[in-house]
Amino acid sequence: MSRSPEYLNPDILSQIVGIGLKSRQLVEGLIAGQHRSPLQGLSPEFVDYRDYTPGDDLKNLDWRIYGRSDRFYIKRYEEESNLRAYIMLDASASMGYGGEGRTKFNTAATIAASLAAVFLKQRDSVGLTLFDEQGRQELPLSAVPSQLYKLAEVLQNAEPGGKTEMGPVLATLADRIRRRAVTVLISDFFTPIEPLYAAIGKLQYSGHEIIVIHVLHQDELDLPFRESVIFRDIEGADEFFAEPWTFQSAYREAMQQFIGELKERCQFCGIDYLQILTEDDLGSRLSHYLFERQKQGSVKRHGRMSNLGGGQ
Amino acid sequence: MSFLAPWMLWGLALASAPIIIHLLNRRRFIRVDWAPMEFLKLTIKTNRRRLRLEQWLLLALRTLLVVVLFLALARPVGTRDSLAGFFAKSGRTTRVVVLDDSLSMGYRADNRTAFQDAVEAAKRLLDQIASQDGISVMLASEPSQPILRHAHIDDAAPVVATLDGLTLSEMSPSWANVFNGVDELLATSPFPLKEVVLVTDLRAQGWDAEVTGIVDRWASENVTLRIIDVAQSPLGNMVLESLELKTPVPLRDAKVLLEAKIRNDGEETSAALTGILSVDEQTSTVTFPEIPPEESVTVAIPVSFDAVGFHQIELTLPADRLNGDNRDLLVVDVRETLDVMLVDGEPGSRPFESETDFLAAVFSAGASPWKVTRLTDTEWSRQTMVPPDVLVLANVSSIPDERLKELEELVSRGMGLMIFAGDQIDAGSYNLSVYRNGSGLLPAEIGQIRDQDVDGLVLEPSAESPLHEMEQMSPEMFSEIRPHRIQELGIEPGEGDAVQVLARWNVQEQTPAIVAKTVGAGRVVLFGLTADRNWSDWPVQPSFVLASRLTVQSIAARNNSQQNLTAGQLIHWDFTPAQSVTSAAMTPPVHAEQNPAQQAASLPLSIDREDPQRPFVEFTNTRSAGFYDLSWQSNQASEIKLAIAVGPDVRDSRLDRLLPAQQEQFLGRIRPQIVGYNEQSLAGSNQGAELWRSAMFCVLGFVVFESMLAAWVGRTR
Repeated sequence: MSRSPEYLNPDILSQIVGIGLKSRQLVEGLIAGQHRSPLQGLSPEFVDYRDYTPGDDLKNLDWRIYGRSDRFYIKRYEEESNLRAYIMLDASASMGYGGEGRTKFNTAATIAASLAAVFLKQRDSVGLTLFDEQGRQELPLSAVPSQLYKLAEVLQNAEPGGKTEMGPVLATLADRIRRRAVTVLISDFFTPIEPLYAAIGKLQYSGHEIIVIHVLHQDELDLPFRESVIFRDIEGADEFFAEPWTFQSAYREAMQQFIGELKERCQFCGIDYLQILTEDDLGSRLSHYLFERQKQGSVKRHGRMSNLGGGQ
Repeated sequence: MSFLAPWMLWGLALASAPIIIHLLNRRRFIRVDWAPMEFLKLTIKTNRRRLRLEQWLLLALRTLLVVVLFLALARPVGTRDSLAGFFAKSGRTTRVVVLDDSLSMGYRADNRTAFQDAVEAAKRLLDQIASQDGISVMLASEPSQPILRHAHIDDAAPVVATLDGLTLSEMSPSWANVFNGVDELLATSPFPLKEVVLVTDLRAQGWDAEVTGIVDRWASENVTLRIIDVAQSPLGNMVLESLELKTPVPLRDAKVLLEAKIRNDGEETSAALTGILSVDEQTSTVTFPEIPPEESVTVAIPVSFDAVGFHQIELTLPADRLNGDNRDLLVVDVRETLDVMLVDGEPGSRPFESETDFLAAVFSAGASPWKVTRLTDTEWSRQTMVPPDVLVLANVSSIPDERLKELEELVSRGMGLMIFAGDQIDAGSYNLSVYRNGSGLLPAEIGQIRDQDVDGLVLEPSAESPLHEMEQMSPEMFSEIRPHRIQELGIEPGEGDAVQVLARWNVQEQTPAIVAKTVGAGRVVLFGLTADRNWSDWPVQPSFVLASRLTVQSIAARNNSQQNLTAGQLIHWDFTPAQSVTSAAMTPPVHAEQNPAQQAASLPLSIDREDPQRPFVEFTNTRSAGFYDLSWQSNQASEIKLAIAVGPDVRDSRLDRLLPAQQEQFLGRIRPQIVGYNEQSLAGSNQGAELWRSAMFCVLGFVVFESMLAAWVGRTR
């Protein structure tokens, strides 16, 4: 690497790498790791006993139980595996909103790189997909430390552009990922929402854990303009004249309703929802999130997002 | 709705300013590449109707504000019942209301005269005026006698009753007099705010430059002048312009000619009219021919009188839209005979040898009831003279001082005096005592007697000349007057109107031949020629007969102009010392008695300081036409009555309007606010009841409302 990756911020990394991120679900990794696996055997973590059946490996026979009860029981151990993390980063034009160096894309890329560093520190495999209305660029899964720099380089070279169509992109991803993994969605979610919900539901159905990181700019929450504005669609050709102060409250209400519904749906489905503003202190926000996540342990999942219906 | 400052209406173009500013504001914007467009669109779509409504409301309000502002600046005037606004003042005000009661105000349209409208307007005005204001009301015909003087109207009923009792005058207005009267009222005004309200038909008659000086001063004193225009559109009118006596000396049982002049002010030829002629209340009809529009005809009316004395004549035309000018009145003094006294300065024994033989023949010829008395100059100077109508001095050498004083008295009272030249005349004596450098009876200074052959006489054309009728005769008749000797008559250049040259000799110097002078009520005619044939053959020529008789008739006509007046003129009557008047009274015409000011009134006897022996009476209130009866008591006799004819002042029957240019000319720096009055409502003319206060209140309201609405619309939502 000839230059220091822009999105790898040592201050942020120092705050979050130590906390780590464990999957709340079973993951099917290839190597031993920190995460629980649906497979048993290699891990020292005892799970339960089962009756011996011919053909079982005798090394798992609990001889002590046999000595006490004269019955054969096989000890079962939980396998701990590494995690497969797919970071889905929205690189559409809408992510380009924001001031110089503080666009939503910058923020999202920093988040992606930071989380990737956390995963790799845990020897987890991390892959990255940049998408707009389709998958634009993909960095395959890898757990080697150099993956972080590759990922950072991909982010470094990426520029926001194109429309946002998250639904089809996620649906494609769900079809492609065979093994359980953690999918981190980083986007402003200004996309047709029903296909998105359907795609998230599909990912859930496949057993993936989903983390939704909602990156927004403060302007998008407040509509703070005090002069007349011609709003031009950042992803299209539409534009119109408006005096924003005349409907500021209504806009804020609509925006909060959208965010609230997304958050509510995520919570309902056991999906972590994290809203981050471009102005936020990312190290603080991410470390707080990771810490809370670790402390919280498992979350209750009431259903899949795609089954809720409705939406915006 | 009309405007006093219509040019301000150009400012209405600025009503587009809010729209332009709105459009310009739409050009002042920032561009933002926005991500959550769907939410923005959704929000705007939800609020679009409300936002548009607010924007349009604000824009309309701002546009309306500009419109109303400039409407207010254009000084709109109301059209109906806006007297309150028209007369609104910010403080206690002295108002002087002048009701025009001149003859033209009697013009009738829709069965209402302009004067009735004026009274109605005045009554409504009284209703609108605040009780704390001081109000004065006067008639234009009586500016010195206001009906109200600085009164406070707590109860309008008595004033309204007074207004209802007012009658129209038959005078022509004199606005200078009216404004002087108003000025006196304003001078005693108790309040600083002053306002003059004229209720008039705004005719051009009666306005003159004297008004300008007064109103200019008012302008500097911030006096407001308002005019309620009650004029009605002229729809035609017949005017009896004059009724005149054409026979110089009316005599009993003799034919007397009256002349009536009628004018058609309509746009169509009038039908033949039948007028009513009343002579001493005996009526007869007079038929007038058709009269083309805007033309006049003169009709001779022969009458005769069977009694000596004063006779009252009244001619009345059929009623039309303006009745005030349909009649005229005349008082005629009818005499039994025409007394001529001939004083002969050179009597002779043979026929036509005396100086007055030819004159006696001239005046005695025919059946005319002239009474000729002949005296020699010696007889005349000795005996007491019974005053004749005309005294003829022919070649009388001089006039004794006592006789001269008597002559001056008689001539000033109306006696005619003819003086013929001759060889015996003492020019020095005449010039010294009779001419007196122009102040005596003699019209000209008597010069030398000059032997000169003259080729005739040339008449000086003049309607006032006793020889006026001879101007129509052939000049050859006068060229036959060829004297070989003439009396030089010298006239000073500055003699004035009293002296008039009636004829000149046809010589290079154009020497005056006949000169006349008016002295008091009488006239003196001086001939530069003898009355016999010593200097010329003129006495035997027909022109001599005519000239002599015309001159006698003319100067014998008693000047009774004091008895024939027009409305508004002062009645002034002199009594002689011999009448020994002890008291006098004036009875106005019967029909004018509705006006309390026209009641019979005793007149104080006034004394002329220069002539204490000659008392006189004066009566000013001649606003109505008719016969005014002057009566007096004396020591010698019981009550004596005398009729004085006061005719309408038909100058005001010209219904020409006072044009805007004339208003500017006469009203000077003051700018009157004029409101038109039409039937029961005040209708807007080019000026009227001002509404700018209301408009400005609207503007103020709009400004406040706009500010509130703009803050409300512009608030963050």
